[in-house]
Amino acid sequence: MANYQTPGTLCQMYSGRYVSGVCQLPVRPGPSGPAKLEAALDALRAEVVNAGAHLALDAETRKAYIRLTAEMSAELKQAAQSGRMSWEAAANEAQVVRNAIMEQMRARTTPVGRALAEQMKAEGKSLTELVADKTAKLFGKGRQFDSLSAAERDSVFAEIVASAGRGRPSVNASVRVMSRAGRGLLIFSLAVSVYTIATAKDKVDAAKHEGAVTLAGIGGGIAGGAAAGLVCGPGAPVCVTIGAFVGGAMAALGVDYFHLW
Amino acid sequence: MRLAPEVTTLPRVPLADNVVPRSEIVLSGVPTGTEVEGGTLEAAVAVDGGFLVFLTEGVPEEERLSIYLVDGSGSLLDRADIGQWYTAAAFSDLEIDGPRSLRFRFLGDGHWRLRLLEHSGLRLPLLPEAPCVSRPFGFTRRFVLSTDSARP
Repeated sequence: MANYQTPGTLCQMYSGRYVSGVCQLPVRPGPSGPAKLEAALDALRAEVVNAGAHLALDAETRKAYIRLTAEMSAELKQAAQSGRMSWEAAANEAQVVRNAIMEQMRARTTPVGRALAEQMKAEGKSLTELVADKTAKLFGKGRQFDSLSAAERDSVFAEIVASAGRGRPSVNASVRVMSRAGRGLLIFSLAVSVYTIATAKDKVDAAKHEGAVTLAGIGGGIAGGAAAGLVCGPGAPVCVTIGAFVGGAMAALGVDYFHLW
Repeated sequence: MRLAPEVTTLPRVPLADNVVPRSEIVLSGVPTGTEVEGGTLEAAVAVDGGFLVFLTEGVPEEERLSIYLVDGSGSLLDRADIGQWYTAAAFSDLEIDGPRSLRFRFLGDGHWRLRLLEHSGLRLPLLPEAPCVSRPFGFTRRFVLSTDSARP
C-alpha cells in the first residue's frame, strides 16, 4: 500500500486527519431522532404531492384530449354538412387527426401515464378497418360496405366523424376520479405547508424549505419515472411507478441532506 | 365450448360522451335482469353451465372489451376488462381451440387467450394477470386471460 506523506484533496475537503498514510475522517454525529423524523415526513409529503401532481397532470392532459377531439369532430361535421367537403373526406381527415392527437397526448402524459398507454404496441386504426367496423355495427355483420347505397355510406362516414370526437366514457369517468384525487392531494399538501410555515419561528426559511420539498417531490417523481422508463423500456407501468416513487422520495431526502433551500 | 347465438343483449343505457353504455343480458329471448357495462355484443360462447359474453363500449379509437362469465340463469360469476387508454382496438377472429380455451384478437398485434378454470382460482387484487387487463377488486377468478402481443 502506498504511504503518502500529504493528504489528498478529498481528505482535505472533509477535514480528514492524515495518520500513517491513511486519511481518517472526523466522526460526525448523524441526524438526531427529530431530524430523522422530519426528513421522513418531508419524504412522505413529497410523495403525496408527487402522486397528486401525476394524477392532476394526466387528468389535465385527458381534458385537453377530449376538448381537441370534440372540436375537430364538430368542425369536420359542420364542413361535411355544409357541403364544403364530402363525408368520406371528413371521415378520412377525422381519422388522421385523431391518431395524431392520440400520439401527441401520449407524449404529454406523465411517465406513468405514458407507460400505461404503451403496454401494448399502439397502432391507430385505418379508415378501412373503421369503415368495416361501423358498417357491421350500423347495418349488421352480413352487410358489406360496397353493397351500401350512397346515403348509407355517408351515414357510415358520419358515424366515423362522430366517433372520432368521443373519448372512451369509462376512461373519462376514471379520469374524473383521478382529477379529484390529484387536486385533493395537492390541496392537502399545500395546507400542511401553510401550517408548517405559519407555526415556524423563521417563516422565510420554512417557506423556502416547503417550496424546495414540494418542487423536489414533483420534479424527482417525474425524473424518477422517466429514468425508470429508460431502464425498463416502454410500457412498463409497475417499474415506472416505482421509479417515480423512489425519485420523489430521494429528491425530498436530498433537499434536507444537502440543505438545498 | 360453442358459439351461443341464444345470447343477446338489450341496450339499457346508450353510449354518450360521458356515459358508459350498459346492456342487459338476454338468454334465449328471456331478459335475465343482469345489467352489464358495454354497448355492443361482440360474441357469446356457451361453456359448461354458463356463457361467456363479450361486449365492447363502442369507441373503436379507444376501445375496451368487457368479458363476463354468467351462469345458466344469467347471474354474474366473473368479469375482466381489456383496454388501454389512447389506443385503438377491435375485437375479431374468435376461435374456440379447446374444451376450455378460446382465443381472439383485440388489443395489440397478437392473440389473446382465455382459459376457463374448472374451479375458482386465487388471484391477487390490483395485480393484472396480463397487461391492460383489469378486474373488479376481488381474490378469485373463473377464467384467466393471457396475451402474446405484449411489448417485450
